[in-house]
Amino acid sequence: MAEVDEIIKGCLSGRRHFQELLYRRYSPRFYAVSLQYAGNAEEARDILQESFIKIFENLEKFNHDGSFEGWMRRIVVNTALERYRNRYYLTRVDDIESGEEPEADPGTTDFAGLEACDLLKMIMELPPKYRMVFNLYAIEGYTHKEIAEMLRISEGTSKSNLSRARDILQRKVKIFTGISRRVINV
Amino acid sequence: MFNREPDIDVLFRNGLKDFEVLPPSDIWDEMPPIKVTHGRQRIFYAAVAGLALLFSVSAALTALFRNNDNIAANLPQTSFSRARQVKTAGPTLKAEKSTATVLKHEFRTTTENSTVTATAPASASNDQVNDTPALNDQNNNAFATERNSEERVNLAGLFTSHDFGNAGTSIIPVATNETKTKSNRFMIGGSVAPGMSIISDGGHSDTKKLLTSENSMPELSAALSVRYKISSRFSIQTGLGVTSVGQIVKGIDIYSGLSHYYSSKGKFNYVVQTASGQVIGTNTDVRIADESANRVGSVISQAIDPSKLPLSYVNDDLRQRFRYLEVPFIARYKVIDRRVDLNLCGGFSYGYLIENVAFATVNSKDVKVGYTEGINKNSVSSQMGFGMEYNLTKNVTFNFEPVVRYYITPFSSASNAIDRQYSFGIFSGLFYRF
Repeated sequence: MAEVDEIIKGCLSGRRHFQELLYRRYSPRFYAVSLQYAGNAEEARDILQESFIKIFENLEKFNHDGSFEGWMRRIVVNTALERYRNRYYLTRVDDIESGEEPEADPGTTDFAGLEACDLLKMIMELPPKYRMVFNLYAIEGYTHKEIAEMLRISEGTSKSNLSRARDILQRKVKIFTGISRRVINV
Repeated sequence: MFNREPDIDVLFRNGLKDFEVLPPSDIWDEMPPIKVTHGRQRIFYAAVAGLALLFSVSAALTALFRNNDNIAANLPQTSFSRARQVKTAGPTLKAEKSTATVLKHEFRTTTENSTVTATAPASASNDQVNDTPALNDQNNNAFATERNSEERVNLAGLFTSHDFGNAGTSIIPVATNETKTKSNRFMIGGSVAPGMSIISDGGHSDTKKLLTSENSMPELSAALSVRYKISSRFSIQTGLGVTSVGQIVKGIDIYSGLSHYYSSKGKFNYVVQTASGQVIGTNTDVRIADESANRVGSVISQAIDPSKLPLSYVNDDLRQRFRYLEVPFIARYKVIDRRVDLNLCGGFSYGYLIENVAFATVNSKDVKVGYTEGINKNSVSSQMGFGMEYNLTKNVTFNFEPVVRYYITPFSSASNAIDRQYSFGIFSGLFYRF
């Protein structure tokens, strides 16, 4: 398998074959990231495609100081953010809620049976404004100040959105694990 | 188990770490071939291409006009009196044969009645030497007379503007164009240029759709320039200018007076999606609406309906204006040096964004709406032009110069925004030589 440096060099020389190699190697990971931010497959598809175009176009700007995958991931996240910002203002998604929130049993929960795809599904089901803040804070590690600048919201809004997102996810996890346990018991 | 709230973060972070989902197979197939752009290479190639074009066109035009001069000079002229032609025949012929020497050394000797060169080329042909006695026979040699008339014309063309009246033989400098320009190396002037930009939608379907309801505002440039002549043909130019470009977004209804009824919590109430990027409506006194298309978004709570408020209508066009302060660095080559000079010019220009405003106009008064997000503050462009200079007086020239500009840096950092790739403008103005 070709080394990453070799692939980068090939891409920089404009060879399509190496671009495809890069795409094949990283697209599954970044498609998962795209889904995490997009909320649906159609939007994730656009994010992934747009991201790889940006990656190829800006490859010479990668200075080899940090992780190449991290650099690409930032492009994917920024692309998702940009699309979200456009969509957010055009459709007033801040007013879109996911409907009735699932009721959960109080008490402790273990995470047995929770797969990555279940977690992804839970994030995708979050309302967009909660999903974005949760992804940026919990997964990417940005601060509330940074998130506020990125999403053009106040820090307070970012904090409250995160809290709300955690709340919803917590309930979803409890319900899921509760169902799993019941299924196993049966 | 999780007792503390942030544990849910860890669950998702770890759970989704390195998680992969195979994307649909057709995504790659639909991806267009992507050219990798090398910034430095692009600038280098643009510079090399510009210079190569400048020199090749210069060389071609110089060769073309030299040929024309030779043809014109070789045409028989009969306007001179035969007696004068005969009288000056011998020396004139000699002078023409050593034209190159005259131009090179800029010296000549004068005699009482005729003009001769001070230095004949060392390689002067035997014909030249032999011609002199034959032509000195003024009464008999008709052939020589005929030939002299041609050659006198040529020489007359070289020396017409100079006074050779000094008696006796002396060596004096000839006031050629080169010596003239030595004392007038600087030029200062101002020029303005209406123009137009050629914009690209970058292949984005959303941008293409947005452009259907937008028009480009005419580009306008004004500049103060200083020019320095390095030689009679080469000069360099710099200065300070302002260039204004913009877009008119149609069908956006703008109302004023919102702040009387609604106190904004944030820095803006509205955003407008345009082909140049998102306009952030920082003027919280205006209400922006778009009834026909879904380009306007609002952060105003849905509990309030601004459309029912008695607001003053401003306009249905939103205008975006971007002004750059520019410093050009231009090299100029004079291809034709006549009363109307023709110049080729090429160089680079650095622009800094000094104004980024979105506004609406009511009764010739601008109402600021906000600004466009993502516009790059710095702009570098290469430019090429072909200019004409008409000498109005000894020190004042009128300049007329069509210029094509290629923008090296992108117009906006927003991925879906338009890109201004080329622009065309016609600079005209006055320059003062000192």
